Amino acid sequence: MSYLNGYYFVDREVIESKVYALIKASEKNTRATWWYYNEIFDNANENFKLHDASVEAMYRQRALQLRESYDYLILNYSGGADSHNILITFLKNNIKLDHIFVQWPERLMERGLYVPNAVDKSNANFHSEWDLVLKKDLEWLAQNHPEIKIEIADWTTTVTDKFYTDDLFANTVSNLPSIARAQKQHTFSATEGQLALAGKRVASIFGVDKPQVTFADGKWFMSFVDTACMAGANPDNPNGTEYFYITPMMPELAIHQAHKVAEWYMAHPEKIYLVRNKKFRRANEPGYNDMTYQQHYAEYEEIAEIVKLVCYPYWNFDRFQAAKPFSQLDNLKLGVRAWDNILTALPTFDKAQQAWEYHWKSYLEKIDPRLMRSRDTVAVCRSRYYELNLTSSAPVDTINIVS
Amino acid sequence: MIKFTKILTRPNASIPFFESKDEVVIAYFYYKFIRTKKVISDVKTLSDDKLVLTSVSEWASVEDYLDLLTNEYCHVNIVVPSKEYNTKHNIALKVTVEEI
Repeated sequence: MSYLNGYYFVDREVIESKVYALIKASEKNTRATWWYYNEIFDNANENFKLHDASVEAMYRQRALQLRESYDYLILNYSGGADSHNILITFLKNNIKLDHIFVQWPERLMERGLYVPNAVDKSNANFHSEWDLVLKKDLEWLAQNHPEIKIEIADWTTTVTDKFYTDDLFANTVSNLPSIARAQKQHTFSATEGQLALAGKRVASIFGVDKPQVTFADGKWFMSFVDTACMAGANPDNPNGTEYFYITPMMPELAIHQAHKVAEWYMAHPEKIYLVRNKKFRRANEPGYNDMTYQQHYAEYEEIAEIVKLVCYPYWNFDRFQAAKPFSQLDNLKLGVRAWDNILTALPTFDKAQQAWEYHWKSYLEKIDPRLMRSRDTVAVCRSRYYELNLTSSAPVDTINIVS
Repeated sequence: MIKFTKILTRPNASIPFFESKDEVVIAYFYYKFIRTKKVISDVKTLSDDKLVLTSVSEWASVEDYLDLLTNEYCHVNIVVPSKEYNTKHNIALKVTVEEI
């Protein structure tokens, strides 16, 4: 059996649903730990020898692997750095990509609910990505690569109070930062379902996710977070979801990315503080304990930009990207994030939000607040830390030679 | 290839020889000079009376060693503190260089 998004351990019990795992952990006054193909990444990490390969070469291998494994490839495209890198990998290497699938609240786009703005990069201005990035990409693609089918799905059509059921909350969503995200997790390509039901091997490819590196006790580590792995599989194609980067099918890719990111930090020692473990920073960095949410977010953004610089050679840093929807926002209603602002124009929105709140509260009241990230968002569960083979005991001695 | 023999002599055994403990500096040095095989080997021996530390290191080329000497980060974080430390603690340094 394959576990697309891994599973959780509470003591020794395996629980696939994150929500149930957190409830169980709360009952037992313990924590839930996330498993994501630990043994495969362990083994690949111990035997990793591809230090000299380029990231582009690794991406090409992954694209070829997907091409050889499936009859039809669909890329879930957002215009962001992760999926853009995948698109360009296919195009530059002349590897056939059949289809790109874009989710966008199209019917709200033309109603004057927002004004495209290239200056405001807050999450509330997320919708400008359509005008400033995505629409242009799709037009370019249609003109230059007409062989690639473009499908746009409007996830706002399902924003109703009937949409939110216990099944959705408990069994199919590993993380619930926002109503919009939950809708998108359950909006699928019509073509994917049709082809899969016709017997074709169809891959639905997601650009998940950027590597996370940590520097602790002089050693470098790689880890994953479960909030990255939360794609919902198409019910008509349950085994077709593929994460491009963090994948047990080619664990060397994520390990290679992590090596490259760690090497970047080693070459830029003045930035290593960004990836120091929190325990070290709390103890040694004046002011760390007093950092504001905005300061933490600025660090998060800087780290993300460094990863893009290292891992996404095709990325143009002038492209517009709005901030991610984080939970600590402006006293918004439960389940609502800043980018949901235009959804309020939907006549069904208020009832849908109330239904969300009704269901989600019924789970939240069973979860220990220590297992929450904010009042309505569950904590991030991290994979184990994999030590990267990047250091040795030799340097300590060797530094003496320059004295 | 170039071989450096550095002889450090301290006035008494209770004074430790300079050693950078900064993990970030170590990581940087590793990345710049060891992983790239600019430093090939480094063997240290301590005299019986524990006063003299002899360090024999081999570098791939003169240019590789010059990379170290002209590296601002290493200058600020390794060379300068070690020199200051040695001066402060009366540790004498004698260096011989030979091409091999």
